[in-house]
Amino acid sequence: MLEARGLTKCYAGIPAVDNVSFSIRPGEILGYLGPNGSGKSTTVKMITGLLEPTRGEVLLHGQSIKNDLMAYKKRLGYVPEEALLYPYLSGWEYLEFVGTLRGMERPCLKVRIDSMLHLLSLYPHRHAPISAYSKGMRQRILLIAALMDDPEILVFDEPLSGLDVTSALLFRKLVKQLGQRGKIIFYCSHVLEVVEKVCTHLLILRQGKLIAYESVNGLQKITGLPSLEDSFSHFVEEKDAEVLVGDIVEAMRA
Amino acid sequence: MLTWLRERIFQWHEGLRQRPFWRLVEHFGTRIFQTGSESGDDELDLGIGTMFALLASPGAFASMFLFDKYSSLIRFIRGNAPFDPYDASLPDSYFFIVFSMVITGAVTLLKWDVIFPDRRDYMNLAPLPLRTRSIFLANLLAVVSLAVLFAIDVNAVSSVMFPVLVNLEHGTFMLFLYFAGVHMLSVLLAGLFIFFAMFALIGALMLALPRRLFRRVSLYLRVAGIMYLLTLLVTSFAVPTVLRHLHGTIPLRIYLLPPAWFLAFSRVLVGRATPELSALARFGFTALLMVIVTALVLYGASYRRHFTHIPESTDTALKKRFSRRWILNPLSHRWLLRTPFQKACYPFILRTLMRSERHLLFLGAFAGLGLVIASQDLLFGFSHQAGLSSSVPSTSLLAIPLVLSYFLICGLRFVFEMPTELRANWVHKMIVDPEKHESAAVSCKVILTFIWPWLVLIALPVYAYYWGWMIALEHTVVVLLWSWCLTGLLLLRFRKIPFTCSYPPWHEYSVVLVVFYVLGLYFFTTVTAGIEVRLLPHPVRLAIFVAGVFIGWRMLMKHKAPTPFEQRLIFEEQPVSPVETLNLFRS
Repeated sequence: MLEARGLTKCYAGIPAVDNVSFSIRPGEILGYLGPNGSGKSTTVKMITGLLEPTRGEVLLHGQSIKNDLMAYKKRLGYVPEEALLYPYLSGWEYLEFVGTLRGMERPCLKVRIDSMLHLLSLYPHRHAPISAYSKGMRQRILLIAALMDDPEILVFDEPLSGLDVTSALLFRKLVKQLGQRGKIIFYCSHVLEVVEKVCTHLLILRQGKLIAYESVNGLQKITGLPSLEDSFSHFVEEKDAEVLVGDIVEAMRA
Repeated sequence: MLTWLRERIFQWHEGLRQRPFWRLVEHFGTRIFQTGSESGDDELDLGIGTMFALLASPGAFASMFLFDKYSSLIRFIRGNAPFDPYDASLPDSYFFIVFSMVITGAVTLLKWDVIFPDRRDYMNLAPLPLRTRSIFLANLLAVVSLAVLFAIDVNAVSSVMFPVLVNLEHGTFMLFLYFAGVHMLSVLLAGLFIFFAMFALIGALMLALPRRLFRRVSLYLRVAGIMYLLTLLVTSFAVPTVLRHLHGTIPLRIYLLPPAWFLAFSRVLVGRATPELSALARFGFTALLMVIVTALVLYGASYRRHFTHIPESTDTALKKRFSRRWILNPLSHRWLLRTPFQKACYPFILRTLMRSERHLLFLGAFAGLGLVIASQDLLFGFSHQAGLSSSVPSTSLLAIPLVLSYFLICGLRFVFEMPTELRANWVHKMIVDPEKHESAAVSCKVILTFIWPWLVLIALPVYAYYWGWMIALEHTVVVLLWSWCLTGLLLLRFRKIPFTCSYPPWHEYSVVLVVFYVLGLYFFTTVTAGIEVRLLPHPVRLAIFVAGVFIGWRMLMKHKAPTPFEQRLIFEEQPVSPVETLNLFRS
């Protein structure tokens, strides 16, 4: 089980994430939601061990990840929000580079890279430099890099960014199946429709603070609203959207 | 046998690549040559092979030019007396040491940004099961190995050719080998010294300064570094003579010249050192060791601060930029920038230039070269008292603002051709009418913004203080007009919005370009200053001369004015066509 206990991160004394706690059991998919600047990415960085919390800790199976960070990272697959890849490497070279650094065995690595490139329709472009890849292709490379070592924990930070409809549908089904296979999945996204269909639990963050942490059905029961979109708006919106839209149109004419 | 050996090497290399640490070393070595934007289209990527060949070639040329000095036949034809080649090699050894330092230093300055792992590295490497220590050591090993490789490459040809020339007549093969070894060692150590010195400087700055301030300060330091290297190059003319006649106490200025240490070191090893040179060599060797140790300690200390804090810096990256509103905005919008194109593009060009480190660095290099030449003129002018006390400044003193203007104009014209974020130029393509643009006019205004204010505010009062207002006014008017004319000439048929078009095919006419710039410098500075010396006491004659040149310039500009087709705004450079048509039907 992956657990966050009282996670807090402060910058210059101001908390970006404030006392957030949750746990994800094997097979569970936690949807992590919140408006821009609510502290989602900071949480992701703490969960992945990139950032040290000011207070609180992250535990895997009851042990703090700080005790053996390397072993934790070996069990972790991460798709970051921003596809910052090395543009001069080809897709195949990048994956081989990551696989080697993860300590994967050579024959196994080659087989997995080739098969995953095939399955995600990147095989014909495997030798093209990443600089020539579209945003969706880069995202798929990141996805392969995260999955190819068969990690126990998966952290997705806006994984659908740039993916076309077919790839997004495929990805949605993939995440569900990975959950059914007992993976621990942390899913951070803005696409509420996907989160609603994929995740088993939801956590909503606003200005760094946890404001809702429930199962998908439980959240709808609490708010009494029919969709996740309505529930989300209920929790995070400060101003009525209709009024805001009216103000924008007025500003265009000013 | 060869196939077996090749296969063994290949297997060894593959085996090494499969080990995470060595794979990281390879990665850090490669990324130093492969930096740039996501698209890669606004980078002039030379590739490793080309870069090594380019770096090695100046040493080869410099060695070839020494042939007539060491050839006994040429000396005999000239009727020169017999000479001691080892003694005569002192200034040349000094030059090669300086050369090694300048090239290694320049490459380090250019690659300053990629010596340390950056955010991209952090985002890719930090989530992987790698220890921070491994990343640190791999990067250090890659950087130091590359520095050694660079130093060897830069001096490879000269380390063979120069000793061959020196030992051509009198030396045995063993003497040649020994001299070559000593020469190679001294130039290599000199190159490594400058590399580690800069490495230590980066480490110290990263340790001492906040990240944002470090980026700002590092730019100025890199420009200062370029100027320092250019100054070192200039010392090749004077320092060897001083070193040859060094007796008694060594002056402080010689202690401050690292090339002198390494020359002394090589003289000690070839057995031609005076006690003063031996002392200098000991000092240099100690300094080299201290610099290496300092660099490694500072690198280690700053690494942790820099690399492990990258995610925090990205989380707090959204900071307010200090708003700089130009005080003269309303005035400039009314009088200087009259059309919407100019009102939009003038601040765009200035902001891009002032915020792009790469562009500022190249401009700084041009300005630095100008400052070095101008300071030589200044020293020369002030060393001759007659230049100050006479009613008209000497040619050297008159040339100073001309030299600075020339390098600034050429530098700005050069950086205008360097694109930045080409993928963002869609906004220009969408909005600007390619037939009706004023890119040359607005570029001219930007260039003159960098020239005219300091001419009027600094040069004019300084000349007035020494030689009176009349002379100062005449000279300032000449420089103002000349800079305008030169800018106009360089922007003739310019049809790009600066920074928005891909690179022109420079490599196809780079030699012509360099010759053109050198000749231009001679005419713009030396010839103009020479004419001024004669005409400044006669304002009417000067006015007639200036008017004549100005009219000639206007006629040339009118004659060479582009056709509407040639005027059309471009965003992508076309390669030079291998076939040219005669274009007989051109109206």
